[in-house]
Amino acid sequence: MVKLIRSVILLFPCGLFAQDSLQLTPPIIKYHSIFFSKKTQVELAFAYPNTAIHYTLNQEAPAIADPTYKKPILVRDNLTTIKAKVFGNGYIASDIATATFIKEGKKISMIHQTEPHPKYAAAGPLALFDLKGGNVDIGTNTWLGYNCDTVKIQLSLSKSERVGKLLFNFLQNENAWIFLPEEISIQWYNQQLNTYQFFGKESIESKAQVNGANCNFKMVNAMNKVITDKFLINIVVKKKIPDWHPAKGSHAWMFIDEIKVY
Amino acid sequence: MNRKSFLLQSAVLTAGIAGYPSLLSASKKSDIIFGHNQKRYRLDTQWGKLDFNRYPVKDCHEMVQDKLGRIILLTNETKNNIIIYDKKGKLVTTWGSEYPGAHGLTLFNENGQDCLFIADNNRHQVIKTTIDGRVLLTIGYPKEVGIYQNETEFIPTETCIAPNGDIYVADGYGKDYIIQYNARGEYIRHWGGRGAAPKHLKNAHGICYDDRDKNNPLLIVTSREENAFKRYTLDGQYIDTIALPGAWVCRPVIKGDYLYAAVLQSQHRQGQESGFVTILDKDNKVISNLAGSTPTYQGQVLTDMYQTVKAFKYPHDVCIDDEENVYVAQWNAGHVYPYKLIPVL
Repeated sequence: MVKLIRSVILLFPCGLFAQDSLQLTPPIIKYHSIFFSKKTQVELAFAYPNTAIHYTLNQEAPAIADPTYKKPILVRDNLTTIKAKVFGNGYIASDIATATFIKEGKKISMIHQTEPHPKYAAAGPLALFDLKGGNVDIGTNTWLGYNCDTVKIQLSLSKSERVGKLLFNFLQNENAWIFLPEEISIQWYNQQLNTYQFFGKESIESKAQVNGANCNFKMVNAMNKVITDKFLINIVVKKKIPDWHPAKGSHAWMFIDEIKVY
Repeated sequence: MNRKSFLLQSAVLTAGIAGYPSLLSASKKSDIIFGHNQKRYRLDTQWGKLDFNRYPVKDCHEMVQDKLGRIILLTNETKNNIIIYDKKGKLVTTWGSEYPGAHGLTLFNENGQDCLFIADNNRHQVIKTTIDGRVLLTIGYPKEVGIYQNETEFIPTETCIAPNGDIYVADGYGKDYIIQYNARGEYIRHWGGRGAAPKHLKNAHGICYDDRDKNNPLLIVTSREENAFKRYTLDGQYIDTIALPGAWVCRPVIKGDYLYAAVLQSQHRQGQESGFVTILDKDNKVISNLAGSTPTYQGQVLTDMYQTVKAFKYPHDVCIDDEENVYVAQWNAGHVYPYKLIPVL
């Protein structure tokens, strides 16, 4: 009985106000691009009285006990995910706003890839390593869009480097027929043997329907680190849109922007 | 207590503590005051609620108040395109079943008689009616001008009427022209349209006659995808742009010294039910956002605006009555009836 009463007390506030109270909206994470060279500063915004933004950099959901946002956040790691949430008296706390910032990595000198659909050609080969991107709007001219079966990419580094992983940034906007690819496979160039060899592969399972649009990065790790200056990449585009979708059976689109080498 | 039950209770307690600041202190909607400066309101979400089975709504697009003080709602639900309330939200009457694309509603007092102008997206027409629904005039696309191949390219969203009876039609879902007709529905001129110059429009969704400066009346036109209003002379000469960064503003509504507008959504959160209401003063500076960010100017430049509280989904129009109450009609908001905002003095 004691346990029951305690549970009722603890759950009561939620039940009392859930129907008749209002929720704050997530804070704005401001940035020109999620890609950066050495370091970047990220500004959070929520202009509303008696509220505060709390944020984390450790992938955890922000709570009141986490730092309060006061000044732009300095980002310098290869991958930094900022999660931010607004709290305020009189309101249900906001949902979490999330953005991942991606560092440049090894210097890329050239990328050649399958020609994108002419409508979504962005800035050509440079689009994949110009450090511009992170906006989910396909009209921003940073995305290369494809509705073919596979996309082949040749990537060259400025010099031979020790490489352990490659990162790919994709757009996911399923309502707009834009899905993540089914598979990414990579070969590296072995200069000594004058041949390409297996580097790594990532299969991407189609899970439940995803609402809204988001930038979704995928990392492909090497079996063993390699020293090389060239890669061949093969990306398999989803060929059939799933049954739950109004366009079921149609060929899906794949949108890619930026590849990073670490 | 074994270890398992201890862990379970600890988890519940932790969840309770973690949730405390946001949940225990959450206020009721009716207790929250929205807005800034001298324009602050309490929200009444129940004001216009009716029996959905008898008086259904789809999108609640626009609202006006007539000379009897009644609040008139336009919906694209053809069981009752027009729903007329008293100011307390009590149903007075309904009419209209022939406006499947009912979108824009403007009231004009013509020689002492109220009449309505309905802009219908589906019919590609503007229809003038008496206050009880008798059709007086129908305006189609201006064939003689040559800017439209056929009527389907003309998709009017709004009208405004000048004191001399001239009818200005905003083709906001068509080619973004403003087309001026005389009171008989005869073409006079057109301007706007799409393009890169400041005089052009992107989604000319609304228009109003602004006579706050009695010596210099002008037209204010919505350029919604640009997040802006644009001002023109009564013969269509571009004057200037009122930038409203972040705000997908619908039609401008003038009441007293102020300009009110529903904001369909925030630029930062498109397609995510992120609307609010904005209010500008006589100098066209934003002074209040209802359920939106605190308006801030850096010099003369307005900083980005956005929804801060999920009070509205997609506000599509506001109506300000003779007691300064604000009514909010919403598009695609789950068939909700209009909300009322009561000023806080």
